[in-house]
Amino acid sequence: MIKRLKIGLKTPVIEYARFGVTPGEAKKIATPEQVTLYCKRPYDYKNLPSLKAGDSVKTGQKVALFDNNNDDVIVASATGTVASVEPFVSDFGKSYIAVKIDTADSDDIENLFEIEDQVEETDPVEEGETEKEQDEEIQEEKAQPPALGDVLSILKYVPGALECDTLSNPGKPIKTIVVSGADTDLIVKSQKFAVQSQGNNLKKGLRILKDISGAEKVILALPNDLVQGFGSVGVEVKGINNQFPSALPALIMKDILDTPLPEEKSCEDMGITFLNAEAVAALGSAYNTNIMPVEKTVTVIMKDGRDVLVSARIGTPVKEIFRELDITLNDGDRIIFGGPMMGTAFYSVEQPIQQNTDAIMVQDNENVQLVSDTPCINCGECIGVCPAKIPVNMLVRFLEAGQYQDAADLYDLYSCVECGLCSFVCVSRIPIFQYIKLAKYELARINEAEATNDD
Amino acid sequence: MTTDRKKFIVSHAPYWHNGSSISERSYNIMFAAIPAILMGLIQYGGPAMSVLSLSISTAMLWELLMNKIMKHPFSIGDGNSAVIGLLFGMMVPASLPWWVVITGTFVAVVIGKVIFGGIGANAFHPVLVSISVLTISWGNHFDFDSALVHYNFDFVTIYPLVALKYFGVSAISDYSVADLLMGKQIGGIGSTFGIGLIIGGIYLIIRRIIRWEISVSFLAGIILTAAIFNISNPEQYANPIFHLLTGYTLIGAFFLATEDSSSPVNTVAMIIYGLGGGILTVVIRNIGTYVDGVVFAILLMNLINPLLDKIRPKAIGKVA
Ligand code: SF4
Ligand code: SF4
Repeated sequence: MIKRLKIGLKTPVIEYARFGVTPGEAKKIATPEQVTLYCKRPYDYKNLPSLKAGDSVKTGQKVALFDNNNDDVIVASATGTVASVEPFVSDFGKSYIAVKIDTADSDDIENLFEIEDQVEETDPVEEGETEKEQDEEIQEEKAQPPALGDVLSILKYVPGALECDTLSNPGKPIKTIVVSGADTDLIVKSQKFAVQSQGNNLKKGLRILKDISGAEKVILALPNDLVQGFGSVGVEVKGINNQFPSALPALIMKDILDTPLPEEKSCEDMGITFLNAEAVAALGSAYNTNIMPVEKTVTVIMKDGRDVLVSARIGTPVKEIFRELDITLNDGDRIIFGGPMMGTAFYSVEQPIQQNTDAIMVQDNENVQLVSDTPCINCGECIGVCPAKIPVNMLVRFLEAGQYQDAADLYDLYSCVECGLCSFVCVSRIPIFQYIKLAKYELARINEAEATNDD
Repeated sequence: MTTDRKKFIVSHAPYWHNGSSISERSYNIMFAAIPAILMGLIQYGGPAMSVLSLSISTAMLWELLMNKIMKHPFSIGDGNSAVIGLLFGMMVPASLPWWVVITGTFVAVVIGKVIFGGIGANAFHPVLVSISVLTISWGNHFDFDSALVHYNFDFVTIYPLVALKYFGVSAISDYSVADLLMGKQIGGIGSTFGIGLIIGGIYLIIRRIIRWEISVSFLAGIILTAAIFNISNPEQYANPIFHLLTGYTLIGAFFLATEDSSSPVNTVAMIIYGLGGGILTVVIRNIGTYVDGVVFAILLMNLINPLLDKIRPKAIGKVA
C-alpha cells in the first residue's frame, strides 16, 4: 500500500518505476520438476487431444495437441515427458487445456528450423570486423527474408507474447505495429529490462517486423528515459511519459499516435496492434540463435515492496520462484500475477508463469486492503485521476445497481482503459474497477446471447 | 509442500489503496474547524461549549438510532454525523435552547441525510436543511441580536448583516475589517472568526478534502456581485469586503458549499455552482427579506447540482 500525505491543489501523480542505469542480471530460476503450459482453447470432451501422457517433448519444440491441426499447439519450455493433458478454468470462466510436462535432467534443444548450411556455417571472423557487422553480413548473405508465417508462429509463443493473434487476422489488416518497451503496471520492470539487456535482439526483431509484416509503420514506444540508442533501427521511436498509466495501449494511442480509441472499438479495428518489446526481442533472438526462447523475465514484488528480476522457464509454478527467493507465505496473504494496479490474484502457488506474466506480487495479509460496502460519497477523487475522463462517481451508482446498459450508454463504461486508479483513490473504498470489469463481462455475455438468438 | 494448503486471499485489482477514507476526511474537517470554534468558546464560554457538545453528541446518537431502526451496520465511526453536529453547532447562537439543538440535529441527520439514503445520497447539505427549517419555525432563537443580548462585548453587538439591512450602509462603518477578521462580531458560535475560518479552509484545500474550485468561485461570486451593487449605489449597498467577512459567508465557502454529496465534481460545474451560490447570497442579502442569504443560496445551488454536474468533459473515445 502506498500511503502518502496528500498536499497540493492538483491531483497527485503516480509514477512508474524508473529503471537504474545498470539493469543487472535477472536471477535464473532452476528448471522445475514439472512445467505447466496452457493452450488457449477450451477442453472439449467430444474432441479429446491426441497429445497424451507419456509423449516426450524437447525444449523449444512445437507440440501439436491434435493431429492435423497446426493452430492448437504449445511450445515445450523444457525437455521431458508429458504427465497430463487436462482442462483448466482461468478467471472469468475462460477455459484452457493445460499440459503438464515432467522435466528431464538434461536439456535437449530442438532447433527452430531445419538446419540449413548457411546458418550453421560460421564465417571466419574477418579482422577488424565487429560481431554486429558480421551478424548483418550473415543476414545479407542469406538474402532471404524470414517467412511471414514462421515469424507469426514464433511471435505467438515467445516470452512476452500477448494473448492475441492480431497480426494474422485477414479481416483486420494492421497498418501500424507499436512495439512497447514500457511496463504497464507500477513497479514492474520486465519490459524495460528486455529493452536494456536485449537491445540487439530487439533491433533484429524490429527489422524483421519491418521487413515482413506488411505494416506501413513500426513504432517503438519506450519510456522517456530509455529512448536513446534505437535511432539506427529505422523505425520510429517515441517516448512515453512516466506518469501512470501512460503505458497502456489506449493511452499510447491517444497521446502518441493521436488516434484516441473510439469506444467499443479495439486497437485492431483501427489498424493498430501492440507487441511487447520482450516478445520482439525474443523473435530477434530466435532468428539469431535458431532456438525458440523459453525463459520469461518476471519482476517479483516482495512483501516489503522490494522487487527482484528473475528469469524462469515458461510454465514454472510460482512456488519454485518463491522457494528460490525465500518468500514464505501464510494464510490470508495474496499472490498476484501482474502488478499492484492491474494484476490478477490467484489462489494457488501451483499457478505457472505464462508468456505474459510480467510480474508476480506477494502481499502480506496485514497489507491486504479490504473493500467496503460504503456508498460513493461523491468526493470527486476518482474524477480527478481517471485518464479516460469518465464520470466515475455517476458510473459507479449504475454499476452498483446492476444497470450495466445504462452505465455504458450514459456514463462511458466503454471508455474505461482499465487502469484501476479510481479504486486506488476511492475514499469509500468501493471496488470500482471490479464493478467495471464485471459490467463489461456481463454486457459481452448478454450481447453474445442476443447474437446467437438472432441466428 | 506445506504451502500448498494455505488459503490465499483472492480479490480484484488494484491491490493498493492510497489510504484515504471517509473517517480521515471527517476528522480533517473537524480539525480544520478548531480555530473558529476556539474563538467561539472564548467569546461565549460555557453555553457555547454545551451547545456544541450537545449538537455533536445528539447528531451521532440520531445516526446510531437510525442504524438500529433500519438494521444497517453502524456508521457513526465514519465521523460524518459528528461533522454534521459540529457544523450545526458552529452556525447557531450560543444561547440556543437544548431542545432546539436536539431538534436541529434530528432534522439534519434524519431528514437531511438518512431519509435521502444516507451518506453520499443527500441532495442538500443536511445542516442547511436543518438551519433553514429551524429559522422558519423558531426564527426568534436564530435572531442573533435578541439571542445574545445578555452578553457584554467590547465590540458592536449588533449582527452586522442586521445593521446593514435595517440601518443602512452608514451603520456598518462601525465595523472595522480587523474586528470582523478577528471574530469581533456577534453570530454563530463558529461562524464569526474570519481568520480562523480562512486558515481552516486553506488547510482543507491543500489536504484535498474540499474542492478549491467551489470555495474560490463562491467567494468570487460574493465579491463580484457585492462590488456591482456597491458601485451602482454605494449609499445603499455595502462593499464586498463587508459581505465577505460577515454572516455565514466564510463558513459557507469552506464548510457548507463544499459538502461532497450535494456539490458538483466536474470543473466547469463546480465553478458555476460556486459563482451561483455567491451571487445568490448577495442578491438575497441586498434585495431579499432575509438578512443572510448563504443558507438559501447554497440550498438552491444544491437543488440544481445534479443538472450542473451534467456539464462534464467528454470521455476519451466518445464520438458524439
Ligand atoms: S479504471 Fe477507473 S480510473 Fe481507470 S480508466 Fe477506468 S474508470 Fe477511469
Ligand atoms: S472516489 Fe469513490 S467515493 Fe469518491 S466520488 Fe469516486 S466513487 Fe465516489
